[in-house]
Amino acid sequence: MKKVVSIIIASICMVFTLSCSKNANTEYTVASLPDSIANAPYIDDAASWLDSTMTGQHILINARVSSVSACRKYCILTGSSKKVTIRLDASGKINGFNKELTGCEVVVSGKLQEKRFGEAELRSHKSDLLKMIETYMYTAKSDTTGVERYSNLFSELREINEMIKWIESNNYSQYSTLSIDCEDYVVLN
Amino acid sequence: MRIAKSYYYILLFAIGFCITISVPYLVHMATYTPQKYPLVLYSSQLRELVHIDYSDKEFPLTDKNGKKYTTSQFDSLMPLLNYKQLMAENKMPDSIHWLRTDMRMIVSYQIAVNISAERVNKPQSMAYPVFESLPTRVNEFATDYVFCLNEDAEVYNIATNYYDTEKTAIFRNELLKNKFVFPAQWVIGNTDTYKTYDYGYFSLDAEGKLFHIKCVNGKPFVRNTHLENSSGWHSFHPCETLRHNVYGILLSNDGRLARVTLDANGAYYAQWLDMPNIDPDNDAVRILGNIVAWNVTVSKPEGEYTYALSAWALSLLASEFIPAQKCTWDNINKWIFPLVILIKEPGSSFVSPKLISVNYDAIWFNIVLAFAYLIRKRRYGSPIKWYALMSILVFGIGAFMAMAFLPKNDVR
Repeated sequence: MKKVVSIIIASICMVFTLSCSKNANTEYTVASLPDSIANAPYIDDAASWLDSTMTGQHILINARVSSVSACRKYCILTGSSKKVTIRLDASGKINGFNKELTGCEVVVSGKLQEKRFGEAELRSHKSDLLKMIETYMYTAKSDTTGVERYSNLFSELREINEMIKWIESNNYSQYSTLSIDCEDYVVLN
Repeated sequence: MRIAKSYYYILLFAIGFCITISVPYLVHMATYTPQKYPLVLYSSQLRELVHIDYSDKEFPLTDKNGKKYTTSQFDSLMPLLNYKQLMAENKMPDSIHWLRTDMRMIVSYQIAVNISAERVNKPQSMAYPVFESLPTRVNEFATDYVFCLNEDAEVYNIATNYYDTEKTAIFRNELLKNKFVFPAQWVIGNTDTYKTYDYGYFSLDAEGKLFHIKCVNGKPFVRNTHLENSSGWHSFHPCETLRHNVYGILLSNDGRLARVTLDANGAYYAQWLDMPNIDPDNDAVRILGNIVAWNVTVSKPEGEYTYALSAWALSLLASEFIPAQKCTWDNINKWIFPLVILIKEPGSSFVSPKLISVNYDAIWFNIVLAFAYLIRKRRYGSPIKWYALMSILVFGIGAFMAMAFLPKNDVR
C-alpha cells in the first residue's frame, strides 16, 4: 500500500513539474531599440545638418547600404532619394562589412571625416589619367580584364571632371568629401 | 530431444529471422563490387563530354567517338584541368571562350560539391560553432561559443559549458526581429576550421523559410533569404570558391538543384541547374565546376548520368549516360533470397534493418530446398511436417537453415 501511495505522489509531482516547466517557457518578443537609435537622423536630410564643421565629431545616422566594397573594408551609405552618399569606413572594433549588408537599413555611429582635394591636385591627377588611358588604348587586350580596366579609368576620369566642374561653378579652391569612421552599427531590417 | 510445439515455432521463427537478415548481408559483403565509372568531364576545346582514364598513361583521353588522345594532346584539350602542366610548359592559352585564363581566374572559379543522402542523414551534434565571418586575421576560425536552434535559440560557452544569457538574448532578438519561427528544421554550414573563409549557416525554420545566419564583428547577422520553392527545401550543400560568390547548392524536395548566390542589390538568388530532377534520398551527386562548365555527375542504381552545364547560365551543354555493370550480387540475389533485408540502410549511417527487395524468382530455389528437406526427412524416417515445408517455400534459405539448426527428433 505504501508503495502505491508513494508512486501516486511521485507521479503527481512529475506532472506538476512538467506543467510548471511548460509555463516557464515564455513567449519572447523583439526588444525595442533605444530612443537614440530609433530617432537617428536620416541621411536624406543630411544636407540640412551635416557639414565640414562637424569633422571629428561623433555622429549617428540612419541610412541604407547601397554597396559594399570587394575588400569589405568600406561601404557606401545612401538614402531613399539617393541624392546624398557617404562612405563608411571600418575602424576600431569593426573589422569590415559583410556583402549581405547591401540593401539593409542601418543606424551607424562614428566619427565624421573630411577629405579635401585641391584644384591643382585634381588637374594633375586628370592629366595622369589621360596619359594612362592613351597608353592603355594601344596595349589593352580584348579580354574581360582589359574592358574592366578601361571602364574603371573612364569612370574615374568622369568623377574628376565633375569635381573640377563643381569647383569652377561654385568658385571654390577645393572639393571636399565626407566619410564616417564606423565605430558601431545596428542593422534595422 | 523432444521440445514443446509452441517453443518449436518460436525457435523456428527466431532462428529463421536471424538467418534471413544475416545471410544476405554476408553474401552481399562477399559478392558486391562497387561500380567503376570513368571520369567524365566537359572539354572546353572539343566542346563535348570526354572520358578520362588516368590508369592509361599513354592514351588517357577518349572522346565521344572513341578516338584516343595522347597525354600531351590531353593536356591541350583539357586546359582547365591540366593548367599547371601547361603553365609549366608555357603552353597555356591566355583566354578560353573569351575568358581570361591566368592562374588566379582559373582557381577562383573552381568549385567542388558532393551531395549524397548519407551526408545529409548522418548524425549531427545539433550544436553549431560560431565563427567570426570577418576575423582580424585570415584563417582565424577558433571559436568560444556554439549555438543551438531547437525550441529556442541558445548560445553556449565551450570553455565553461554554460549557457550565455547575454549572447543568447542578443541572438534570439536578432532571429525574432527577422521573423524566424522555432524550431529550425535544419541548420547547415561548413563547421570545418580548415577553410579559407566563413559565410555562416543556412537554416530552414519551422515554416519552411530559408535564413542566412552568421556572426559579423562579434554580433549575430540574420537575414531571410526569401528563396521560395513550391515543394520546399530538402537540404543545403555548402561550398567555397575563392571569389566568395557562391554559397552552395540548394536541393528542393522534388529533386531540383539550385546555385545560391548574392546579386548586386544584395538579394539572394537561386539559379536552377538545367538538368532532370534527382532522387534526394537515393542519388549521389558530384559537381566539379570551372570557369567554362560545371560537370554534374548523378549516380543512380541503373548507372551514372553526367551533365555539362555552362558555368554562367547553367544551361545544358551536353549529357551522357553510362549503364551500371552487373556484379555477382546482382546476378545471384534475385534467384536465392526471396527477401533481402540489410542491417544498414543504404544512404544512412544508422544501423536499422530495412527490406531492400522482394524477389519472386527465388520461388524456384525455394522449391529445390523444399525437395532437399523432404529427402533429408525421409532418410531419418521422421514424418513430414507441412508447416516446415511451407515455411521453406515462403522464406527459402532462412527457414531451411533454421530447420538444420533445430533438433532432428519430432515435436511433441
